[in-house]
Amino acid sequence: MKKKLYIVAIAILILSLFIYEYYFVMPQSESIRGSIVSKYETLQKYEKFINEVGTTEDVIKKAIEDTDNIEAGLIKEGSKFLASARLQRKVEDLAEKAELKIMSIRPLNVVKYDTYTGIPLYLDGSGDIKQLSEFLRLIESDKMLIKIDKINVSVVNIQNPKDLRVRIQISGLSRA
Amino acid sequence: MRRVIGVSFDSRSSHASIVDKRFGAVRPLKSEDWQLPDIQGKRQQFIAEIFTKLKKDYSPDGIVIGLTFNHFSHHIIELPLTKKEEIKNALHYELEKYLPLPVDEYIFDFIITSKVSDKAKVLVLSAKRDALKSFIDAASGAGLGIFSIRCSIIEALNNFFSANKVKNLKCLFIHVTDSFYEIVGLKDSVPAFLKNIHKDKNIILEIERLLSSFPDGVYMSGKTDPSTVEKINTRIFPLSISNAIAMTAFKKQPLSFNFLPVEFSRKKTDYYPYLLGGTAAATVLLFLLTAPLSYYKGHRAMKLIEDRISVIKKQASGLLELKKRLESIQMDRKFLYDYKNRRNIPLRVIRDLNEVLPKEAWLINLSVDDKGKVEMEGFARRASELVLSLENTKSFKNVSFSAPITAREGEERFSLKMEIEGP
Repeated sequence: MKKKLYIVAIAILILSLFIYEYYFVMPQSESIRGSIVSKYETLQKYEKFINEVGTTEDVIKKAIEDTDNIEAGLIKEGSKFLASARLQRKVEDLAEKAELKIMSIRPLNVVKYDTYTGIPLYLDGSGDIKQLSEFLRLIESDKMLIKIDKINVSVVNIQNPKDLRVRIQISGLSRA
Repeated sequence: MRRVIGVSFDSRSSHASIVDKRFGAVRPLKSEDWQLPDIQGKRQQFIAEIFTKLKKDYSPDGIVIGLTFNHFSHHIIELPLTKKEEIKNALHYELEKYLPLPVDEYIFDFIITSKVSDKAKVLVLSAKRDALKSFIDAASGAGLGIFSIRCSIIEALNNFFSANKVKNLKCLFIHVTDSFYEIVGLKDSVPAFLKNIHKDKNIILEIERLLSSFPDGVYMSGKTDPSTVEKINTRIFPLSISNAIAMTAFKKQPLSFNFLPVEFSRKKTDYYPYLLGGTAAATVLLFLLTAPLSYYKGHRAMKLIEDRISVIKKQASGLLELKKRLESIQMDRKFLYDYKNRRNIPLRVIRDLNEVLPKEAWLINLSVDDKGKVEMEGFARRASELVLSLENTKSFKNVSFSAPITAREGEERFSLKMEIEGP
């Protein structure tokens, strides 16, 4: 009696397992197989995309090098006040070198760009055309990235045209 | 490794051979001999001591006991049956005619010596259960398992058959023990005659008489007497009977007699139903496992792909950040280049004006900004010509007067505004 019970129990167990597999495991397997195919295609696309990373990294490296070279001409001082003072000193040095007489020099309001900040200065000076040319040449060739935003050159006395008055708005750049 | 000890008991002595089977090869290891006491009580105790010693010294898997032919009675019976099982059942009744005591008092075994149509001739050896029991008890007392109990003359014959492959022998085979000549007459290499003759009796006469029925000669083994051998022109068959007895545990013999009572026999496990059941269970299990295994493999493969995708996604997000960073760097670089390019606009303007303006023209005011707007004021002989000259250059565009021209002492005062061409 007990033996028969065991046999029936085992048979029921096997049948239950079979039904479970047939109605649950097998459809799941089919579904997984479908998912594997689609996900594998996605994976291949991603792998192709990843292979392009190397190229982008090279471009970035070159861009960083270029930018670093130009940024060497920026005003290093962190605060606006110090940056303005640094630019003022540089301009005064160049004017002195060009023997251009400075009558007044004053900082203007900083100009915000995305990454950088423009540090402008207003300079009122006088000199002859030679001194002015030398001053402009020195500004152009200086390592510091200095730009002449506006320049006005005028003859002070029409009877003495060699005597020039120069009003210049100069600006340098610092990192924001 | 399997170790078996064959112990043969003679009337006055006992011999043991220790045999090992290792990697399929059977080899005798050692042998021992003992003289048995004459007194029956002491003899029984001595046998028990022998078994204890063997157990202690060699720890065998079991022993095979060999007894001399005088322990057995033999009968050659013809039965109208041919199947072994039927013969065995029939012998229970048939032996009652031949044995003095009830059949249950004996342990018997038999071989079929010949079959003719539906009849069989069988050789039956019977041993008294009591006589065997003393050996069985001694072995059990020493903790030794018994593989089988053999008749020494039969095992000597088995060895003789193994050594002599000649068939259809019609000879006498004599195994000499301490007290007896155990004689077997062979016809067609099958025992046709068996007799146990005490050594006190004249063996020569008996052999000469038997030679007329078994003319192929006489073979002798065991404790042979040289004078007897000389007289009857016999051939000696060298044999260690204890060794031959031990070998029965490893090799199926042509004449197989075993007198170990069934109740002491080692029960052989029948593995066939288990094997069958196991195979069936394994098959069902394999069948049931196929789907889960397939599911598991698929699941695992998908997980691997998903993991890889996840890793790539992380890398890809890094790549996107990298691209954003590149764009940011490129924007900065563009800004810096623009800034750098515009820094020399006033110088460019002054340089270009120096080339374009006529020598007689001179400026009193010049304004330039970084967007390229230029305003200038000055004197020239003809202001209109100046405008044309400026328009003709590729450096300026949108040249126009910003104030009316005034003439004074042959010169015209002008005010112009214009834009720088290009970036």
